[in-house]
Amino acid sequence: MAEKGNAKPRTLKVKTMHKERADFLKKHSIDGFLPLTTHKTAMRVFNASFREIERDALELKIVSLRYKRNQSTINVESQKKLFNAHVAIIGCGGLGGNVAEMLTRIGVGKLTLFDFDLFEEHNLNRQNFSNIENIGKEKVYVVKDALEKINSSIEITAFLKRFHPAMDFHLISGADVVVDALDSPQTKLQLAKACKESNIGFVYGAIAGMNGQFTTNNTLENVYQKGGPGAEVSVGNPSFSVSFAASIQAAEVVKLILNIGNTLENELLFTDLMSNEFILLPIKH
Amino acid sequence: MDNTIEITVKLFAQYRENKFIVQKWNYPDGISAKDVITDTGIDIVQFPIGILMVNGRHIDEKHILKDGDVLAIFPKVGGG
Repeated sequence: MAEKGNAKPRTLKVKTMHKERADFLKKHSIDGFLPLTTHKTAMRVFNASFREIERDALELKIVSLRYKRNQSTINVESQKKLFNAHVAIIGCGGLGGNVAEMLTRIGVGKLTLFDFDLFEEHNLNRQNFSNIENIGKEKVYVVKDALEKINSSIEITAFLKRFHPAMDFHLISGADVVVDALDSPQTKLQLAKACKESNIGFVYGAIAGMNGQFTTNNTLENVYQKGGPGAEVSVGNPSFSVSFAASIQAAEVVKLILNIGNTLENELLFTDLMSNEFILLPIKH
Repeated sequence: MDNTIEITVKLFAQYRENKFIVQKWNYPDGISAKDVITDTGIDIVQFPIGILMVNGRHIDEKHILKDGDVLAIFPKVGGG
């Protein structure tokens, strides 16, 4: 009886809190934007998490001030779709770290990260979260911590493990989009196939020196007829190739989530920054 | 009867180093993509083959080429 008696006032209290919170957010937003200081005040006053305040603000069509410079590209409704989206990033090295940062800054609400490796000195040329201090530390945890400092409204789950598509796919089955940031053609092939079979969005990217390759929602049999590594083993990957490739992948993710623009669903994009060649090839025939 | 065929060979990315971008070569009928790849002298140990196309369609190395075909050879790209 005591429990039952307590239940009613608690429900009423939550509703009251919610209205108070809504009134607070409306009152303290500026031209439809919520400044960080107000966000933090709301967290303290209403004993709520960063993410909860962001979610409630978006319900009221109030956007965090951090997104102000997104506005001509991404309106409030789109920002809400991004907040409700879940993206899995397989690999947190060059491509994965850069894609993760871009998706965090643009406001994708839920990220699941995988990487088994530690930062090493030879990562410093291109992996955006590597630095002299964190050599020897687990990439996936370093990236998670850094992302949370950039945007605390993102829910981030980090797995310190080598992703095996056959065994681990259940860990990402709830994702809207999977980003391939792996460095093994064989695993890329398997991941692409698993995503296709599960009807989950799949954004492929690969780099070797100043070359890149990209396609979306396709399997990769025509890209990798044989297993084994590619030219990257000989030529490595410079910083600008990595961030260029990650930008294309991040844009594909956002277009898939928002269902806007043209994605690489029927094409393979081959890029060569040495020759400034950007070639669209058929992927399926 | 002239059974010589003309093949246009296009190389991309690392394959161009000290080689060429595009050339037209003559061959006897029945030549395979693999034979032409060998003739290019590209280093497929250091730079394994990725995409292989004839006239914009994906093929494998055993594909027999025809007169007027355009063979495009891309190095494999697999880094992340």
